[in-house]
Amino acid sequence: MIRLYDGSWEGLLSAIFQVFRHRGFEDEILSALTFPGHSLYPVYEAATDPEQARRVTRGMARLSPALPKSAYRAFLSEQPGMEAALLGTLRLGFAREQNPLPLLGEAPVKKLVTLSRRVSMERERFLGLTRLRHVGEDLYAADIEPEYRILPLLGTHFHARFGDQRLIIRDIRRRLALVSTPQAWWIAELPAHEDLPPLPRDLEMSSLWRAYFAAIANPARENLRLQQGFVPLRYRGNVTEFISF
Amino acid sequence: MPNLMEKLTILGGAAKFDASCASSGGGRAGKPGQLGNAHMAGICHTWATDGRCVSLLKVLQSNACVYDCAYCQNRRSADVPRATFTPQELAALTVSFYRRNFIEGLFLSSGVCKSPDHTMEQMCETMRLLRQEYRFGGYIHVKVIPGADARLIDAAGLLADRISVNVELPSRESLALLAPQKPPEQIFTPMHVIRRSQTMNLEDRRHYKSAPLFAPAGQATQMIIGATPDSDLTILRLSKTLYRKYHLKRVYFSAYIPVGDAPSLPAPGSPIPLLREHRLYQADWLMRFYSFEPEEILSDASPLLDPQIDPKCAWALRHPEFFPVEVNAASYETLLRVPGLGVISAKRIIAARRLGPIALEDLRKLGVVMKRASYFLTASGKFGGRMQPGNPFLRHALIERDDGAQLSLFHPAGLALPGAIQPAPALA
Repeated sequence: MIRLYDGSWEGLLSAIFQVFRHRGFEDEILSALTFPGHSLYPVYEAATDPEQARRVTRGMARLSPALPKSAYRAFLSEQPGMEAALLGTLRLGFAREQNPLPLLGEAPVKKLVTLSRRVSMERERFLGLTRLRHVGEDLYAADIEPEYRILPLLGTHFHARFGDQRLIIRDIRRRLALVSTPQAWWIAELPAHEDLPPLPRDLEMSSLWRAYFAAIANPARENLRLQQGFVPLRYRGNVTEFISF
Repeated sequence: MPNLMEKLTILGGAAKFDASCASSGGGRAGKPGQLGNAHMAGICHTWATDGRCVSLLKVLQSNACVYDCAYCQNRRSADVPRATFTPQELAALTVSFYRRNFIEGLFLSSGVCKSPDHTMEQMCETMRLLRQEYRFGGYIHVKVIPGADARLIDAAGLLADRISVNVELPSRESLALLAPQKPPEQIFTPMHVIRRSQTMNLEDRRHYKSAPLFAPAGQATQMIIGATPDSDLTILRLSKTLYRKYHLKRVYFSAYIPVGDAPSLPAPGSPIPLLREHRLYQADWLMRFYSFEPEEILSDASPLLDPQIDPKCAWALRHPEFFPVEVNAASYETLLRVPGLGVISAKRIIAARRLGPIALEDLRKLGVVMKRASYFLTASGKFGGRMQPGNPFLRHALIERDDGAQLSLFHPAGLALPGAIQPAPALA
């Protein structure tokens, strides 16, 4: 049987709860957002229930304090097979009443941990690569194009670091924006089908930064392939020192 | 009088030979409504064209220098454009960059402008403006000018997260020859002062909860590699002594880029010892994380690191009696000695084997590099290597080849340096 959830984290947890509640050992969980619409298996919609979601989170935390965090990050990867990896990991964990995360020999655990790590690593990278531009007064804005949905993971850091600034960080592809003010931060949706207004150039500081970046280059040690490993080409469009205007 | 952009280009370019650029070790929480915090593990903001991470605005306060150290690009007798930041403009620039998330903070060094004390005063004023006027909560790494007064060093330590004094060269003789204006006492005394201030500060904080922190990310230093004939063993022994005596957090190695025509230095155009620098960092890691002693890695008979093979593999080849190691039974320290098995894999093995025995096939999933490790371990008694430890052809199997080249901080041409290092004699 296939259970469809609405694409949200709470929805996924609710579907997991229902799988365990109804002893669905052969069940598969898929997202309604990417479901092709037809299947040879019976398809049920799993309703989202915050209480069910909370119980699953508590159960995961009981197995291991790291498990809810790894599971959430894997969810943010938005990759196919993520639901199956999570379900498989939890089946292993709840069957033995033991933390399943060290069992990297088991395929679902390995996949879950790998996805979670990739999301974490992309988040780390964007803590550094996000380039803010001065819009006016205390308002700064940035554009990013991450592979995974890391925007919710950036909020705490940017809110704490730029305590006296207002920030907007836009995930251009997903049309989401992280908004941060000295009081709080939240995720907002951007209009889906309009062109987004471009960010101001902030020319003076951008030029100074580019000049600095050029000055620190050491031609005797040049290794562009290594540099590309750290700053892949696909990220460079929004990073000041790699674009020119 | 150069404008801000020209100053930044000159003073940023002049500072690039300082290898240290970590922004880790200081976990300052940041105050709500104020600018700046420090991320404990550090954050890399960009990567330069040589592949190294850039996380701080690394500049000199001034590259005017009254000293004439033979190995330095900014020495007094060199004909380079000179510039100096005023504390105000440097503090303002740092904050502007920080607000745009370009940097984690500031790395401030300097040439000796007029005198060590005057230079340190300027640097302290820059840091004071940042901390007190701008309420800057980000990372600051300050270099102490050798010969500066202890009170200025103390002041700097209370403003910065990390503080360093560059050892520059690995032996007194080299220092006397190439930097005669920097006697060793001028370098080691500040290190001692810093260590003493750290200890006193710990005492203060035990008694007074709100005592300010002195250099919470610790002390570091840097050595230039390849400017003098000192062996790797000398360098490692010096590192070990520095770690032990001054409780340093890091010792950095910087491959010497030839400048000038002093007869005792390699001529300009000679190959840069990048591979040797890489091997030294590997050896430094072995000393800090894998509990190796310098005498285990090298000996007086062969005091240079093998360029073809990393020091851990080299040790494993010399001690076949230690292997194979059974992963399900060995202690953490023993697991660490296996080539291809690092700190992360060792911890994962120990966590996983509590839940059940580990099989050979699982090891790769735990992060073990089986290409090297398979010759040195067993899992539940099963051995997966194509030959036994002690086999004379094992060395050939372990050598990294250029065609399947691992990406490293080195230009591929740098791997075939003919004259820069002597290969270690073949060990059976």
